[in-house]
Amino acid sequence: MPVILEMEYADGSKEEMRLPAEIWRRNAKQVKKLIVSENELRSVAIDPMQETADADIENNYYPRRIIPSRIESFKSEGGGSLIGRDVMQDIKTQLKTDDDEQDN
Amino acid sequence: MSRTTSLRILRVRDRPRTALLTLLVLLCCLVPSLVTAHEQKTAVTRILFNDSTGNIEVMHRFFIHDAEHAAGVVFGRAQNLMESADSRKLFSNYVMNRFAIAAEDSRGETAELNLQYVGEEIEGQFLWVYQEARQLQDVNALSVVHVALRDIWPDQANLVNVEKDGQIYSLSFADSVESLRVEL
Repeated sequence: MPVILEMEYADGSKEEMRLPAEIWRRNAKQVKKLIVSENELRSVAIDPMQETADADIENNYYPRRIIPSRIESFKSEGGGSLIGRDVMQDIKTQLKTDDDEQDN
Repeated sequence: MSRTTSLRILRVRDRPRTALLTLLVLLCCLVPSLVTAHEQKTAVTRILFNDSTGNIEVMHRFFIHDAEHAAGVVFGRAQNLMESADSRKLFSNYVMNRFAIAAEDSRGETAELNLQYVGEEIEGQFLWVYQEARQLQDVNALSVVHVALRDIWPDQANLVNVEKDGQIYSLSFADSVESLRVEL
């Protein structure tokens, strides 16, 4: 799996870095990556959009944070899904008819 | 001589008829398996002791395909869980009526948890049904009853994972098991 890093800096800017899966050739258990930056690092997230098949997302953040449970995120706004919107459901959107356009 | 030829003719004439008959028999054998095809007949339930909210959260996960067939059997009419929120509500009610937890404290007294309905949700090929209850202070053991879908298909197998303090305890509802107990 590639390592997808999202770094947040002290000035509020974010940077995404995608390390190809070949990085695991050096060591299959753990890898190191030195990142040189002029900004102060605030937090790091691994795979923030859950693109890889990671079963345990609790250890993906530095500093650690509490991952809301399924029901907690379901109750929170935007539904339980990660992105909050299922693009496939957009196909059900009612199309505007000619009459609607005439009204406008 | 003439007799053998007539016999041969008979056999040749019979051939398409037997072929048709075999085809019919084969089709008849296939029909029931087609109707019940692709049912996974498994469901997973997570019971999570959530310390950050102080609740016991129950998350049932069913295959939509299975649930749709089951709902059709239970409610007597084909249900479309993907499209209809009412159908999902009906199915959620069915699940909640067939699932219960009793908590046992250190003195050995048991009390049934008052599970409240939170909601249902479709994600990919799964239908999730959510329930929750306030967490009790002192829980030593749980008794779980889970017969959802198992009252429809005897070979339905339900797995229940109880997650407490980082430990996972699994209960497997298969064969004729209706109720299981786990010490925490």
